[in-house]
Amino acid sequence: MKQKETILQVENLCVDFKTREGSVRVLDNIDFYLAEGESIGVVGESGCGKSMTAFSIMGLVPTPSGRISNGSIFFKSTDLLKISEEEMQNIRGNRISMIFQEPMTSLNPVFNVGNQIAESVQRHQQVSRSEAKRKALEMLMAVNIPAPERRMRQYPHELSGGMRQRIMIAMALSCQPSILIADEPTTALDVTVQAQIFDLLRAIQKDMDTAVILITHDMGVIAEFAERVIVMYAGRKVEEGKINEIITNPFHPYTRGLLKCVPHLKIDPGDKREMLAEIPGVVPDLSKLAKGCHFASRCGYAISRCFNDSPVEERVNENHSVACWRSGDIQ
Amino acid sequence: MKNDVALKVENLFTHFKLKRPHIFAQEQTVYAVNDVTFEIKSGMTFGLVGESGCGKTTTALSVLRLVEPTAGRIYFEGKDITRIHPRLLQKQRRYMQIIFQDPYSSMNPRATAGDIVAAPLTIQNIGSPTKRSEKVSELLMQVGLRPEHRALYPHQFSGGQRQRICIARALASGARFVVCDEPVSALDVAIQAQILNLLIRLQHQFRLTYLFISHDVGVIQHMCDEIGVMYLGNIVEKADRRSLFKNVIHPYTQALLSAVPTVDINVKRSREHLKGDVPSPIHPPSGCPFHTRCPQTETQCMTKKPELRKILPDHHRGLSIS
Repeated sequence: MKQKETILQVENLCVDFKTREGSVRVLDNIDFYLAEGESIGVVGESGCGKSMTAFSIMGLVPTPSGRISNGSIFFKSTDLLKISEEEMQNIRGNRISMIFQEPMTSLNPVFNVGNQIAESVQRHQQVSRSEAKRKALEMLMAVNIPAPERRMRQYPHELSGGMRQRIMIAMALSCQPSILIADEPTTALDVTVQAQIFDLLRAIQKDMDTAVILITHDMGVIAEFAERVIVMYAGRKVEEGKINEIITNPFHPYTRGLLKCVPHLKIDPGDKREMLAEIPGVVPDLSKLAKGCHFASRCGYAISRCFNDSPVEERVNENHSVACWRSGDIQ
Repeated sequence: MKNDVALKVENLFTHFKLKRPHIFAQEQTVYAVNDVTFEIKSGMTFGLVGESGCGKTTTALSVLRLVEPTAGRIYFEGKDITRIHPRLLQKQRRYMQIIFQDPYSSMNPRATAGDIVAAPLTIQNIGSPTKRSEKVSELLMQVGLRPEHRALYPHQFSGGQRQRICIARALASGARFVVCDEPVSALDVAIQAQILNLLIRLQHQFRLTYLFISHDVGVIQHMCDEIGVMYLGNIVEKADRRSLFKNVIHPYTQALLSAVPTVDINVKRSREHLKGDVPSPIHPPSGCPFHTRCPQTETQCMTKKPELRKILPDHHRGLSIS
């Protein structure tokens, strides 16, 4: 049940890219919503469109090669696709902000971190420079950085990977956004640092009641952090549901494969080494997609219908939907 | 399976001297690997797990003598290779190979897949050109590629296929011992399973011995018979796969395992996460390397470095408290 108000509603979102081989559809009719203070996960392999979904929401689809060709993205009651760039700039980094995968390449190497955090505060809130600096310092304390006064004056290259990601989080949260998009925020980090970062995100999310979209390829990370999950494959949403349902009762063969192909840590691994379940083949080239279900060529359950018609999204129950012709038969 | 030892590493130290920024500066040393001892039985897989900078890769490179160890002894199939002449070493390398993390950067972009796989044969002067060509086709099939792929260049392959080429190259000269240094970390999850399965299949087929390095505890548990947990250049805990995960003893191993995200919703583990960062290997802490972040530190931990002690038949740990 949706108790909280929907803060973000994405409808029929399509993104096309122009390439030498013609137009390529990288997002195909993506639909989802995000409630206030909720955390959802978007999972899939590289090239499935999860980052492009984030870029579309942020208004950062690279132009002129990329184009949002259809759909709408409602943030509260504003359609983000209809407003001017100037209006978007007031929302981006202020009401909706984003953390990127590689903190080193998304921080400016020639400014100290204090200035970089203060910059976004000053841009969005009518405050003086010194007030913005004070706010930046407060944010550094909020993300548990030791000796924040000293860190304010340091440059990105002087910090460790975990520390840089904390700076990114401090920057993204400095204007208390309603939505935070985290695009693979811990992929470049060690597991113990990853655990620290997620502890921090969880605490901050609770404090500020921020809604979070977590983009990752790691089902384990999603399981520990998100309430709902969206599984994407080749630009389409294939399954969506409450995290516990998806993990215990996945309907789509791709979701099943994704869960089974990763060696999960067990308390007792047993004496015999078993082979992992493989998803055969590779992700299809988006410029050469055949009609029908994009996963059909790698799917063990595919029937002729799968190769001809695109599956439509069906509700399994209130909290769970899947786009697969065979979902009813393979349970 | 015979239980002869394929590789034995005794008290291995690898230190790097840093370049002095100016001539009056003090010379600094990176203590990358400190007193590492382990052995791998032939046909088995030994795993090294730990976070970045803990010395797993340096250990592996030292074992192959791609980096010269500072002290210690390395025995390959009973032969001491620690100080042998480079020419003799090259002969040994035929049987000792490595697969790197990033397959693209470990291949010459201007050589074809066929040339890349044939390189060890050419260098070691094995077989006639026709024999080599046959061997390349055979190898490509064994790793799940097709003989036609030999004419393509690295950029024409996907990440998973590139790693297959690297595996074929490692096996070309008849390797018996292969270092797998994060072989799947750069690949998508679905492709990881394909490569891990391939490595297991090849191990059975050719009775290979693996030294398997990964930061991913799940992958390590899946692949290895025996596992060493490394922290700041030291093996802090060593055990066979069943024992390590059942009887987690070292506080660092506990912290590492509790940090791994899991999809198993029934597992509710403690959320005791480590604080702070790993100390610099240029100024490692005195005593136990982990004492600065350990929740169970006692005074003796700060002064005395714990020895790796046997606590169960197949379980060692480096811990001074008991």
